[in-house]
Amino acid sequence: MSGGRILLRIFSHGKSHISRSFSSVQTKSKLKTNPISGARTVFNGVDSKTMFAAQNIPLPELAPGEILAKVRLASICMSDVHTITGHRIEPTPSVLGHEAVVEVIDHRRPESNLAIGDRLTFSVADCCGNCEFCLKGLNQKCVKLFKYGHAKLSDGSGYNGCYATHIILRRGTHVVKIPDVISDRCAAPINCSLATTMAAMEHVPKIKNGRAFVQGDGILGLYTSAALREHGFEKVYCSGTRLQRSKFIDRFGAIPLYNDEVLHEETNKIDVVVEVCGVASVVNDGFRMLKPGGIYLFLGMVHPHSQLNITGEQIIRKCLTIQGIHNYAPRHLDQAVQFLAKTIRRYPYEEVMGPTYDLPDLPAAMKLATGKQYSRVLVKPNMVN
Amino acid sequence: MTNQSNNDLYRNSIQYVHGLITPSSDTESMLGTRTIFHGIHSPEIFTSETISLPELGPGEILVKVRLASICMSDVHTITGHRTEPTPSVLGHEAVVEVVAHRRPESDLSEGDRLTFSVADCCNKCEFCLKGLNQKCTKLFKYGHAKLSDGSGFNGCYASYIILRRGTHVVKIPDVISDRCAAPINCSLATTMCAMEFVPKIKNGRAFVQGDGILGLYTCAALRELGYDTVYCSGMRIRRSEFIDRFGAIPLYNDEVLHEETNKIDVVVEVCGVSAVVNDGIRLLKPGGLYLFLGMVHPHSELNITGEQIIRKCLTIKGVHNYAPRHLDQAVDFLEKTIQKYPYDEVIGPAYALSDLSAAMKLSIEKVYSRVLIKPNMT
Repeated sequence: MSGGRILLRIFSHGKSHISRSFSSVQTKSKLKTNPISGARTVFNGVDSKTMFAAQNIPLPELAPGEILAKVRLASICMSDVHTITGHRIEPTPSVLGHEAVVEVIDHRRPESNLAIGDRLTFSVADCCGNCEFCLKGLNQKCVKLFKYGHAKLSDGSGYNGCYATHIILRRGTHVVKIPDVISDRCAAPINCSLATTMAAMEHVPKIKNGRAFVQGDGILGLYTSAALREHGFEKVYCSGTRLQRSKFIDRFGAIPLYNDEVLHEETNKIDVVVEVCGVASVVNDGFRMLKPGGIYLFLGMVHPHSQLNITGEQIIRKCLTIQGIHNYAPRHLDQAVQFLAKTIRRYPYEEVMGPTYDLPDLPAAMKLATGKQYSRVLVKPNMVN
Repeated sequence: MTNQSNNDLYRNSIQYVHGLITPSSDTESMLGTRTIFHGIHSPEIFTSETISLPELGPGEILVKVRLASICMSDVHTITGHRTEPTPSVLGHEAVVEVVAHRRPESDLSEGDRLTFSVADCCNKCEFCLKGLNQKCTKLFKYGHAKLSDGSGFNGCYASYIILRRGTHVVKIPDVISDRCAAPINCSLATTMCAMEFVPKIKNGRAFVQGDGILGLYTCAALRELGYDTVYCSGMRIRRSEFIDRFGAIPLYNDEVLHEETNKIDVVVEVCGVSAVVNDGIRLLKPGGLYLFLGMVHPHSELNITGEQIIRKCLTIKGVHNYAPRHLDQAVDFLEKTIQKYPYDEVIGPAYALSDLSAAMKLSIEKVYSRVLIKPNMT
């Protein structure tokens, strides 16, 4: 099914009408209703008659530890594009969208230093903080994991995703304030793309005269290129596809290549290869380039059509390390904000972002995101300063 | 020592002499016997010759082979699954004894029992400097080198071996017998190298896929590191009976532990069979570690997806051979645990050098963890 055709099959936009068929998605009656109403765009599934439906419902009262935030600017992660094109299954009905910069409206975290009006980024993974995985710093695999933009409406408040005017951050959600030097456009992708990049970088050794190869020039690839340069790697290649966004590769510190270019001269010479393109067939070339003792980071191909065509011998003979990276832990969100604040002038973070759409125009925004012309396409659900 | 004189001798004298050496402080007048491998398509796969030992170069050590053990990689070479340069002297696992040496700065004495690094390395290339000496740009491996490379006494299926200047050696404490010492410098050192990547985990759970000598050593090493549940899967043959005495819970290779899905911290592949990898990935918990040691051969296609590795945030680490420090760790480990595990009992009989073929044949049957070769009266 083409992304374009699906996107056409959507959308009733009812600010003032809530049809009877939506009444079943009212939040649980135990929560007192709030005088503030929010608008949220509900995703009903790829095969639904109305793939996206807008709802206006009152926001529930906050529970202990929760934060009510206004979504200032959301960005469309490629995983959402894969969900609405049917390549990925998420529970429905749900509010998609998990990358955003938000603003505190109200909160119940008295021990924190949060103030109304604070701009925040927040962890996509809400976690328990005391299971085996949280305790060893792998919070993204928490036994009680909850992910914004990946949860059914009926799970908790129902204001669980960023394609909405508001989001309610749960008590186990780590938040980080955004410094003024970082604009909303630059801040939006922090809590998925940039934080995941930081999680990947945790596995990258500091190597004198290090050489790296980044396979993929989407937002993950560009951030990874910058992060590797900042880490001291002196040569970073980045391979992409022949699209508009590729022209930014060199401004993120990397040597641009197109994905059909084979660098023979770098065989066995690369310290770190990073897969951020979602395509399993690049792995053989990655193996070729890695030097003995090298490390291969896998980030992109989190989907079933990622069959690897490699042998155990290739991994053993070169004493390679392969590290899978999925999402990130709370510390990586802090690292992401620090990294961005430190390098905000050095790299064209703002320029790689695309245009901003209103919430009712989400389907058009998704369509543009599918075209991969921009690193990110934005959604602005509210009027904000 | 010159290559020229070696080659002359090789051409002029091929004799069967069972290791009779005239003791002398002048190594040039000493004779060494070596069994040469000519390749599996040769009319004579093995021939024996006795020739004069060359003079030692600076940094070299002339050692007598006290006891060699047959590594499965040699079995693969002589059954044609593996290709090595020929003609060569095979054999790279052995405990040896110093006869003479040119390492004045060392504390070596005549009569010292030693183990030695299979990899002779330069110690100054990029790989040596980062502790990955086994990938040295000037790598030389005993038991894997042509006769014409260096002294020609390059392998353990011989009465003598000449250790080159870049070869790390470690003395064997008396408490370790020859039988236990022989496999140190391949199997046990490689195990130590693998263990370097294994985190100390409270109540750690591990799964060792393979019950050959690498599997048994790995089980013991994991228990010593504090892992309280170690499974070891093997095949239905005699050596499997030692699994529990090496600290592990024995399983047969068709047993599927459903209850351990997503619960294992470390899986170690030491069986050479790539088909086990899917089960290993199933067993691993998020953030777990998979060590690949065994399948160092081309028929090791993996039937896995990138998604499996990413979703569980897995680490896969390839371990090939080892670095000098792992040889020291191996000797320390064995000395410390020599009474605790039945190291001697898993080793099979010892054959004379002239019976190498019979010894190889017994190795193929995998009844014992190791079959031994004793080239000298010692």
